[in-house]
Parts: sequence; C-alpha cells; structure tokens
Amino acid sequence: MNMLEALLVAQAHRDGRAQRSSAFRHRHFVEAPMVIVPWHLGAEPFTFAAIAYGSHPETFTLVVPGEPRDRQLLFPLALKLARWFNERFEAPWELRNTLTRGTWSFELAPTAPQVWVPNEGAVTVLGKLGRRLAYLPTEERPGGPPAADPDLVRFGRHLMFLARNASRAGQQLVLAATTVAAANWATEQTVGERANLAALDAWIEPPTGVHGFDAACAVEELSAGPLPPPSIERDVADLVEAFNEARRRGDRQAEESVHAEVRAIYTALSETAWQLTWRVMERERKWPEEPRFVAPRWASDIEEYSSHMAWMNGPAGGRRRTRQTVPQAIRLRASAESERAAVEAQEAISDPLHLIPLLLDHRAVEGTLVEYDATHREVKRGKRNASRVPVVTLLTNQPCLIPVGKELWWTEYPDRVRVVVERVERDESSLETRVVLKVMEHLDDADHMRLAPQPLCFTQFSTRVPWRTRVSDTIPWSHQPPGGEYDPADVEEVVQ
Amino acid sequence: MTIADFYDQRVAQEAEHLTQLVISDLVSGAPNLAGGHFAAVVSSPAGAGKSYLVTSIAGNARDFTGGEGATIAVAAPTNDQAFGLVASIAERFPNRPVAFVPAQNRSLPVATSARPNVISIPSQAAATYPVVVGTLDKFGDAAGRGNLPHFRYLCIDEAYQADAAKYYGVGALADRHLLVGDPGQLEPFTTDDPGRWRGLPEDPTQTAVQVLLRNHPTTQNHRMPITRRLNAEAIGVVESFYPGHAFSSWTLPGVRRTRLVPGVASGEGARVDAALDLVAAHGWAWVRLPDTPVLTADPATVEAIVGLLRRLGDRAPEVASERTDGMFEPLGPSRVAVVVSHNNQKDILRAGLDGAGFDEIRVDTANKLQGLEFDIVIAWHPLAGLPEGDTFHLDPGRLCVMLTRHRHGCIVVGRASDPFLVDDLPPASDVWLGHDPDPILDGWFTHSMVFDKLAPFAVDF
Repeated sequence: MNMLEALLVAQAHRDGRAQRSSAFRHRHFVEAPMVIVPWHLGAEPFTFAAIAYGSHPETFTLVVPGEPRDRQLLFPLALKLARWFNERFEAPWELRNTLTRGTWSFELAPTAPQVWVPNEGAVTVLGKLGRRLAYLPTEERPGGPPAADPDLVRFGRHLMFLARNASRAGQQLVLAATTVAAANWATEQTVGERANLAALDAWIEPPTGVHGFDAACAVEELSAGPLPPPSIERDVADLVEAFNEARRRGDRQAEESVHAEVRAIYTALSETAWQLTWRVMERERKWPEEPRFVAPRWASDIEEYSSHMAWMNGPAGGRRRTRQTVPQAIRLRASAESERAAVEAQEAISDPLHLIPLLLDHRAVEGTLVEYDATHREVKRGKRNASRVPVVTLLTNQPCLIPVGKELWWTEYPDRVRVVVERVERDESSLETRVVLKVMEHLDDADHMRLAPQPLCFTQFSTRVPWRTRVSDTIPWSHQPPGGEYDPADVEEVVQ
Repeated sequence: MTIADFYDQRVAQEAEHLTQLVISDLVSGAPNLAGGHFAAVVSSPAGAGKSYLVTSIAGNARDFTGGEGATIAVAAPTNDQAFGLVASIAERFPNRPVAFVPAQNRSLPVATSARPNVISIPSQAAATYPVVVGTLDKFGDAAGRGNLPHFRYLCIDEAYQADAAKYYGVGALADRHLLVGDPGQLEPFTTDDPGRWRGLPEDPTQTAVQVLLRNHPTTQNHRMPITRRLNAEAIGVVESFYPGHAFSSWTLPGVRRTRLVPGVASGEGARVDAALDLVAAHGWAWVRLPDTPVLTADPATVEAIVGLLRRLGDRAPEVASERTDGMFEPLGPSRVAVVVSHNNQKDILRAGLDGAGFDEIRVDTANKLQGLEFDIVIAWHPLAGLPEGDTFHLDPGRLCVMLTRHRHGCIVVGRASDPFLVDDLPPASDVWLGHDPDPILDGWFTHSMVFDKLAPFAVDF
C-alpha cells in the first residue's frame, strides 16, 4: 500500500465512504453498450444457467434453459441471444471504410461495440461458452451431432475474440464493472472484499447516513455472478433435479412450474447485478475521460475489432487456433508485457492523483526548470567522441531520494526523452532540492523543456515499445520432445 | 590451523567429485538424449560455487578442443551476471582469451574490460574465439539473425532464473547443454497473466530447467551437496528452501565467528545489543517490531535497521573464518548489506544510511543481490507489517535470496504480527494441470517453517 492509498483508506474510514483515487476515467465508454450478466453452474463452466442481456438500464432479457447441460434446451435460447448480440456487435462493421496506406488497403470500422459485464469472472464464462460454440458443425454429418445454426457459431467466435482480447492491457471492448470501479476508488476493504461488486458499490455510494462498512456488510451476500451465493445455488440444484424429474415423467405442467421457479431466482439475481453494473457505468461516465491516451487506445481497439471482423468474413470464417506454437507464445507474451507496461505508464503519468504516490515514493520528481544547458557536451560511456548532452536543473521544495544514475522519462515525451539523474543537492536551510539531469535521447524534443509549462515532471515510466529479441520459427531441440512437437495446423496460415 | 580444522572434507570431496563428473560428461560423454544431443542440469543451493563450476567448464571445454573457435557459449540471464562470468573466467585463466558479446548500449565494467585477455566482440566475430560469453537475450537475438556460429557446448548459468523464452533463442546454438542454477531463488516473472499458458508445453514463462526436463525427462539433474557461502549454523533455516535437496556447509561449525565488544546499553539499546549478540553467537537474529499495519516504506523499520547498524559499528565487529586463517579481522562496512523487497524501501533506507554515514553499506532488492555475498546481512522481511500475504510477498524465492547472502550472520527485521499471516489455512490458489509449483502455497509453508526455525533467535523491540 502506498502513502496515498493509506491516506485515502484512512479518509474512507473517517468519512464512511470510498475516496476517489483517479482524477479521470481511464476507459472510453460508448453511448450504448451491450450489457451481459451470465450465470453458470459450478460444475459446468462451458454452458450457462441463465444470461441476462440488453442495452437499457431499466430492462433486460433473460434466458433460462432450465437444464443447462441439455443442448436441446440450451441452444435455442443461446441462438436467441446470439442473434441479438451478433446484430449489435457487427453493426459498426457495416459502416466500414476502406483505407489505403501506400500499396496496402484495409477496412476499418468507424467505431467498435462495447460489452459490459459485472466482473472478470463473467468474461471467463463468456469465453468458455464461446469456445464451446465456436467450433460446432453447421452441417449435418453422418454420425455427428446435429448441425448448429451459423449464427450460434458466429456468436461463439465473437465471444472467443472478446475473451481473448480482454487479456490485453487497457483494452476497452469488454469492461467489467468491478474492475472499473475498483480502479478508481479507495475503500477500507481487502482485495477479496473489493471483488464483490455489491460491497464495493456500497462503499462508493452508501445510503445516506450509513457508514460504508455497514452498507457493505448489509449487501455482501449479494452476488453479481457468475455463481449465485452458495445457499441459492443449492436451491437451484434441487430445482434442476426436480425439473429433470418432471421431464422424465413427461409432466409438462410440473416442468413449467419448476422452470418458472428457476427463472424467478435468476430474475432476482440478475436484477441486482444489472442495477449494479449500470450504476457503476453511469457513475463513472460522469468523470472526464482521460484526454491523452484513452482515445488512441480506443482507436487501437477499433483496429482490433476491425481485424477480427475481417477475419470473420474471410475464408476461415473466423476460426482461430486454440493453442499456440512455442514461438507464437513467446511473441505473444513479449507483446502483452510491453503493452501492459505502456498502459501502466500511461495511467501513471496522465493522472495527477496517480502521480502523487510516485512523487512520494521517489519514483518521480517534479520541479521548476531553473537552468537548461543545451550546449553541454561530453563523451558518453562506450563512445569515443563527445556529443551534446543537455543538462537540466530542476528546483523542488520536496526531498528527492532518486538515486544518482537512475533513468527517468519526461512526462511530455514519455516514449522519447530519456534523462539520467546526475546530482541531487538538498539545501537544508531553504528546504529546497536541486535535481540535475542529463538528457540522453531525443535532444530536440528535450529542448522544448525551456518553453514547456512548469513544473516539469520526470518519472520512471516510459510508454516506449521495448526492443524485442528476434524469435526464430524453428523450434530448437531443447523445446520439443524427441521426434518433434505436434504442431497443430495454423488455421490462419493454412487458409490464407 | 590446517585445512581439516576449517573444512568438512567429506562434503568437499563429494562436491569435487560431482564437479569432475559433470565436466567430463559434458565435454566428452556420450549423448544422453535422442538425436545425438546431451543435456544435464546442476541444481545448487545458494553459495555452492556455481561460478567456480562454470569457469571450470569453460576452461576444460577449451582445453578439450585445443582452443578451436566457437567451442563454448557461456550465457546468463542478466548483463550483471554475464559481466561476472567474464571477470571470473578471465581471472581464472589469465593467459587465455575470453570474448564477450555486449548488448546494445552495454559495455563491460572498466576493471573487467581492462584485462588483457578480455575482448568485446560483435557477434559475427564469435567463430574465432573458443570461449564466448553473453546474455541469453543477446545470444538469442544474434542467433535469430544468423550472426552466431554453431558451438560445441552451451553452458547457462542461473538457469532457474532464465525463462523458457530466453532459452529458446539459444537452444539451437549447441548440441550439448549444461544448465546450472539455484532452484531456491527467485524464478523469472511475467507482468502478463501467468495463467495464460500454465501447464502447457509452450509456456514461455516456465524456467529453462523446467522446459528442458519436460521435453527431455531423462536429462540428469545433479544436486550439489555443498554450500560454500553459508556457514554451518545457517543450514537449519536455509534447508527450508530446498525440500528434498540435502546439502552441508563447506566449513565446519564454529569456523565462521563474529566477535563484538560487550554491549552495556539499557532499555531499547539493550534489545539492540541482544539481537547483535544473538547473530554473533548463532548466525541468526529475528528482530520483531511491534505489531501494527505499516506502509511499504515504513520509517520505523528504517529507523530500527539504521539503529542496528549504528550499534553494530559501535561494538567494533570482527570476523574470523577460513579466509582469515581463523584470525579475527575487523568487519568493514562494505561486507555488510541490507536486502529489501521494494525499490521504495531501498530508496528510503539508502537515504537513512547515507544520513548516518553508512554510505559503504550496500542496500538493494533481493533481485539485485542474487549471486552476491556479504559477511553480515540485514533482511527486511517481505511480510513485515502486511495486512495479508500475496503472491509477490509470499514468494519463497525472495525470502531465500534474503536469507542466503551471508557468510557469518543474518538479522531478519519484521513485525511481531508477521507469523500470523501464515498461521492459518492457506488461501485457495489457482492450479493448473501439468504445473506443480504454487508460489502462494509453497511460500505459505516455507514462510511458516522459517518463522518456526527463527523463533529461538527472536528479540522483541
């Protein structure tokens, strides 16, 4: 826990409500998102016991198969959801434009759909449901399962894309209400307690006159899915048994009666999750969107969506491999790590509330420029000839414990202007600190410091994409069993 | 004093025998894997003398081929480790060239590059040198570009710190591999979701050793039976980090001694003296500050550590060991270190120590101090004052590094409430088919064991 978090948690305790920990909203919100609240049975992750869906805060549609393990019951309801989802998810693609860059042309949607769910667990459930649906045969085969409706398969592939994309740092195509809320509010709760959307929301907006702790206690048994609370889950299990028994007996009336009971349970559960999800969304929407990095990331999300849609409408029909080769996994991990580091840096340097703990932890320094020696020259380590190394002198009234030699980045050019701490001089009489920095890269950009608004800020965070080691496609003997690894055909390459 | 007075001869002979066996197997043994390949792993406890082993291998490999070019590539995960390997090999074999392939914008420390037998080369020139050292990343990138020759041998130091992705880049460099490392130390980590590939053969975050043994389970995994750094008194605590791996100290009990002038302080000062007396007598002290939730960079802990060091200096510490032929010599501040978990702890402590005039005492995170040794170490316990344990702080590798840097004594500084964090049933943690390690569960039990073993050395502040 950093110093600001400690302060905010103490204030939350004192005031009886959560304290804002971000000055901005670091995610783009679309005007009309799709909201999905899935529920599943504990032992059956690749299906759903119920799903609530819709695009309006007041109403949702609920599908409840009764027996989630019976595809005859499940798929017709899933198809209903699929058609609703596909229509909205694919709508931006219908408005796509063709862009040309040199000799390369590509199609780009003007915007992208956005899906909201209550929590990250819901993303996992949707991803697994997608995995089940995405490879269903759409044509009858002798001895095979019944053909699935193409819309259902298409839905599955969209869900798989969304779930896979959800692991990209900073993506905004699917947002989990719990994650969005937790990122922006400090509460007097443990990590586990904050994972409960109802309890977290109660801390953020407790009823008038009620302390957040008491408000959270009152609602902590409420679940936003994907599993119901254990007591309700037991009731559901008993009802599903009764439902199946009624079907076995052919007792249509009993079947409908039990189904109505199951539906009533999931309706009540979904209403809570629905309201909480929309409450978070509408509350966060009132905060200004972070102006510097969110829009470019949304543009990147649109590209990802467009790429997915192009793939869906290409010869592979959206089929993707489910496993990677060794070199693919290595490349994906490298890109995921660099993307995560960039987003962490973006969120750290673009928000004044996020900067405070960095300054207090001496992972950043902020000060007024008192001298900029643009003509200083010296021989850098490993070089023979002297080159220009501008020297920056900052004055701050805060102590600075950043060690000499530490690499920092100017927040105005966090991917370009790298400086190194040369000296830190504290004047105990004036309580002022002079921090001397040397500019190591992109000197022309650094020269803008002289005219930049003061104070200047330098942090340990950079948005630069790091250099990546070249990865060969030939798997070395150490990384495959004798005889060679089974390498499942790469659908993308084979079809193209 | 004779060698027999200092060393456990049986352990030393076992270690030497294993070293010779490993060298001869790698250099001239028959292939032990399909396809004419050879691979072996040497798992060493902290301070087993891995550098000695790696330099011996480099020298023997060179001699075996008569110094032909591209005999052996010696690689390590980090630049500092590669620098250390160059220095060790060059010092051990002063008349033979050691080539180093630097990464971009990196260069050897001046003291190393100034050696007449050290040369920094571009990767394209590696074919002319028998012993070539570099980082795994540099070798991997150069190999990916076709800029490295095929070597006869590949030796990876700190292989438990290298992940499968780094190893991938150099896997095809040679047909005979030797991976040397310490399984107790910090494993490679990822900032991405570690569960994405867990248990799958393509997992790039598994260690180099794991991926080799997974694909070639018949690879021999030798276990070094010795620690040269740690004293005999340290073994009881440190063996918690190496389940199933028996090892002993190179030195006999009582060989490593610490002497302080008697402490006559009262009150808080008496407790500080008691901690110092414990570490001098037994090699361990566990300072428990009052139970209270604290910030990561807790000023009270800084104050306690500075106080311990100040008092240590006041009591004119001396150490005697096999290195001093049993004679007491003053303990200099450069032989003392403080190891922490976080950079902000390091920064605030650095400022505190500098303010107290202890600028020669090294302060750094566990990650940075891996591979280094000191006579006396103060370890800021990773769980100190936490409200709950998490994967990072429970990682047994971090605690292992902290508690295995010393030759004479280690003072652990934490909060009285720390043991209660691991006193109950461990939390549920994610598990994956085909992946045994569980940092939370392993860390939970290791921490609990270590607290129990430190209990006799506890001093409440």
